Amino acid sequence: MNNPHTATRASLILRLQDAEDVAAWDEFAAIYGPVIYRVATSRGFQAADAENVVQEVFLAVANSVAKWLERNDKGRFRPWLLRIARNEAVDMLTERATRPLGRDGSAAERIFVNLPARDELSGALDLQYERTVFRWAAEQVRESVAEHTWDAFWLTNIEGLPATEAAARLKTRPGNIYFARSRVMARIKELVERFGDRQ
Amino acid sequence: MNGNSLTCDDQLLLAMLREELPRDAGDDLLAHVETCTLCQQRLNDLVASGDEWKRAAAAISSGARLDKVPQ
Repeated sequence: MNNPHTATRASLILRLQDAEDVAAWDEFAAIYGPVIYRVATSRGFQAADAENVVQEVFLAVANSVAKWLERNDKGRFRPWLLRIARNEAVDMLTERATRPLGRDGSAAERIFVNLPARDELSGALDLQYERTVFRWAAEQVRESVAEHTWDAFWLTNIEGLPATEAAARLKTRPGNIYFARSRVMARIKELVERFGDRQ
Repeated sequence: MNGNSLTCDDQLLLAMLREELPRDAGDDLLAHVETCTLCQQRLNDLVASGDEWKRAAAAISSGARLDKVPQ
């Protein structure tokens, strides 16, 4: 999948004077693009149509930035981004689902059958967003800790192995597994909370 | 509590999590934790709630970008 924000980033930078806002946009787009894509494909959209929805949501959000900049009470950038992107995504996913996508009328009909309520779509986007932030944090942690530390977390918390079995697999004592997995979880949580605090 | 000489102590667990304990004390604590289910649970609870552990596992296992541990 192409990076969804490349098409709109250049024009956006001209409007955003604050480098932190540009960074917030980049980070947000990298996370929220896949969120929209996953929700769209899970609702029956073909890959190309899901990518178009992503592009259109980001274009719509970028076009609304001028209004945000003009507000006296604009607050922080990312909460606004999250709110408007969610609304645009819900609008586009419901609008696309109720009109033919092309020559294949049956495809449109199939998607219409699966059309969820707006609240459900919004909830699905929020859940996918939370999961994507967790995965982003996990990637950061995995790259920053020793391999056996990450493996202790993975084997016990993702694969569900008892600590004794994970210890045997990793050729260490079980006590090290208990501490290593908690160190990883603590770091993931810290990054997720820091990401949220910036919102 | 278990049979070895250490008592359950959150401050010790936290110090070990921060890798602040000397080697000998660390070894004693590892031995204690290996036989103490209370401390095993405390190690989970001290860093995150049960719900957070579950949400993290659900999120991470739902992603394709993280590779599993090679067998």
